[in-house]
Amino acid sequence: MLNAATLAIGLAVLLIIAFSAYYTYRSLKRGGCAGCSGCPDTGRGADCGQCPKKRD
Amino acid sequence: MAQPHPIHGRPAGVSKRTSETMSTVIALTGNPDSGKTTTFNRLVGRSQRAENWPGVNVERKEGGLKDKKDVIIVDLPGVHSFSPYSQEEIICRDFLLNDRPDAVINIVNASNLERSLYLTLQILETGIPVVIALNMMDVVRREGIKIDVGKISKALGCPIVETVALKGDGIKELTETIVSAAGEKAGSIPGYSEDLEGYISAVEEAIRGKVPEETERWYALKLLERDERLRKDIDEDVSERVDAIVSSMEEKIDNDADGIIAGERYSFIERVVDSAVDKSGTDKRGTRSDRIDRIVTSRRWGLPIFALVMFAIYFVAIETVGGWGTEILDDYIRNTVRPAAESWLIGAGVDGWLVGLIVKGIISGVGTVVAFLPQMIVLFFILFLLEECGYMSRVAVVMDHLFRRFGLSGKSFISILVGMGCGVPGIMSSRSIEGETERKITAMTVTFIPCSAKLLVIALIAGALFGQSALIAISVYLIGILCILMSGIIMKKWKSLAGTPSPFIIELPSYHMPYLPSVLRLMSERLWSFIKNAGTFVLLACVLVWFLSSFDWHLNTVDAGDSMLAGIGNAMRWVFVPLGFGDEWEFSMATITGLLSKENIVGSLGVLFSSGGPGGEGIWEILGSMLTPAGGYAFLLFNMICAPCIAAVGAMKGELGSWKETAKAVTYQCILAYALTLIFYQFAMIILGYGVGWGIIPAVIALAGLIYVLASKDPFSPFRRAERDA
Repeated sequence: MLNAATLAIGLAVLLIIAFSAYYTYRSLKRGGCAGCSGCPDTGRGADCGQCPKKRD
Repeated sequence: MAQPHPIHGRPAGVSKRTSETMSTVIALTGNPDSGKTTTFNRLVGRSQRAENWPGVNVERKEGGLKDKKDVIIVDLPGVHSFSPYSQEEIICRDFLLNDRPDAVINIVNASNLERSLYLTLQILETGIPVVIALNMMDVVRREGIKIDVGKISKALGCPIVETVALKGDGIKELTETIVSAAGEKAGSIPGYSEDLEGYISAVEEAIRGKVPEETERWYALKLLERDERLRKDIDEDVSERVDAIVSSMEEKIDNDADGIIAGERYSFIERVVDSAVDKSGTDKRGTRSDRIDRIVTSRRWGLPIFALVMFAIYFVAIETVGGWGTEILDDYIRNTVRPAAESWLIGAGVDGWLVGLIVKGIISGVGTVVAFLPQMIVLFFILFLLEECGYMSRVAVVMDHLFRRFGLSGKSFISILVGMGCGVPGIMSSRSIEGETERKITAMTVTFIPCSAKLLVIALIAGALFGQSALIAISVYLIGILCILMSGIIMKKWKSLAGTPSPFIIELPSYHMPYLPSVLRLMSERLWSFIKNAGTFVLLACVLVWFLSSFDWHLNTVDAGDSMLAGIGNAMRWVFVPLGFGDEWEFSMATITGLLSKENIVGSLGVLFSSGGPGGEGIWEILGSMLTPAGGYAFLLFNMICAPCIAAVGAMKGELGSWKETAKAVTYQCILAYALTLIFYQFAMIILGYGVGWGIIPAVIALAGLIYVLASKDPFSPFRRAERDA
């Protein structure tokens, strides 16, 4: 059986991993955009052709 | 009833609005590097990133005017004219003619009026109200040039506002002027010589009722210029009449039609500039920028100066200031954050496996990557300073001389400069290269230049094995450029990629003091992307690496050496043995995780060596004891040249057009990386006195093959024959 501390912290870590997985998946789904450092797309513009905002 | 317009299909005199609402629409136009995007940001209160390279921004952007959101500002790509030769020019002229904005702000570089006003005349001819923003007035004043703005305004028939967009000077006045000009009738259009005016009137007569009245003059001039895009859309009878008028004009004036119009425009501009600009106070030896450029862009000094600048950048970013910061942060994460988290978790009664996941997986893995933040901050700060002050544009000019010899051009180097931040926009920027073969070669090879993610691997190896020497970074960048040039030679020998390099024209902005807030903003955007990556790709990969390195195939907790990852790594590591880093499975696994994103190489090693050495050493000391300098450099070299991250592969597919072509490009990159690393390591071992190993045989074969492909005129003819036969 998991103790209370393990359960609580484990859930928090699981949540972080889930967020991380979601954003990684979303980046990959956007045609390969990894939100890589140096990309001029800062969420406000859509300079990158990989970005669906541009394709729309 | 008015006839539908043959070109845009709307009845004459009816305008289409951009927005479906009744918003006022203002277009922002100007030459590249005239300060358009900076003005746009000032007008809408936004921080839109503009690439400082011509042709990289080919899209239009929209935003509501600050404090007046019903006024939409549309930032169009920078162009020199409205001839339909490039994508940017087509976007601009289509927007002005088809969408008919209520007014146009024309950003004019005050320090280069002669060239800038050519576009201005063409905008005025569209019949849309124009307000000129005479930008970079600070440069003009500094150079001792006096401009009589009133005279130019009177000659052009439109209001002019003096601005310094970078500092926000004149933006308020520009806002007020453009809002009052929007929707008003356009001012008078400048007239040309009596002869030309006669021909313009004749064409206007021929197209009357077929185009909106206010654009008659624009269409007339374009048809006189023999604009192919317009000519193929007009009725045959109108076309014949126009042809007759153009032929008559060419015969009488004895010049080509487009030459006649361009000549008239430049004569008009010359008259205006002569009457309104006083350059008597300027330095006769040229501007300060001209004097600097005589040295910085010269064939003799250009390359050595660039090499020196790069060394200085990496000396500060990797070896000294940035390196010190990284050492402090790494020490803090390793010796303060990690033990504190571990003792807190154990104290709270958390199970051992979860403590391992958090401490060894997440904190050690992500922490190892985050520790390089100081080096990134310093590097990007200096790079953006150089970009903002205008030096990096000069580097493209200097490199054009070199690249041209290898079948590429300065345009390819612009992609490389963009790719130093991230391979994705670097690959994307290759689309501004006109020549198809040059564009494809650039898209396939731009990732040879280390991006910011690869910088972490460089810094890690330089720190672990070479005392943080800046020379390691410089050598890797140099090898990246050599790989691109070498690939230029090799790929041009494939018949499908043969061709000549496209001409390279770039407008060099005057050198100016970088605007610190702008540099800081650009830097923070890069760093935010870096942190975002650490929180997504790197964190996920670290958790996966921790899981695979902590459990065996039956999910029992084991030492890393008996784990699933060790099993996979040991099965693969033999591939890397001849390259000098295959003796330990950890390095082959780090290389594989790097295919997701290159930061993962560092993150994975951070997790795998999270237990520290027997004496509590950190990752730098462990790497230093596990790898020889030759093996460490080989590991770095292979990871710099082999297949890029998954995002860059996606971008490459976008530019190359098919997965087949992309697969070929990635295969080429991997083969080249393997061959070069093999040659390097095997010969390095002999030079360093470690003797001759069996790996020297494939290394010699690889070297001979490479020399043959580079030297032979048609090395791929047997492959082509086989392909044809198949």
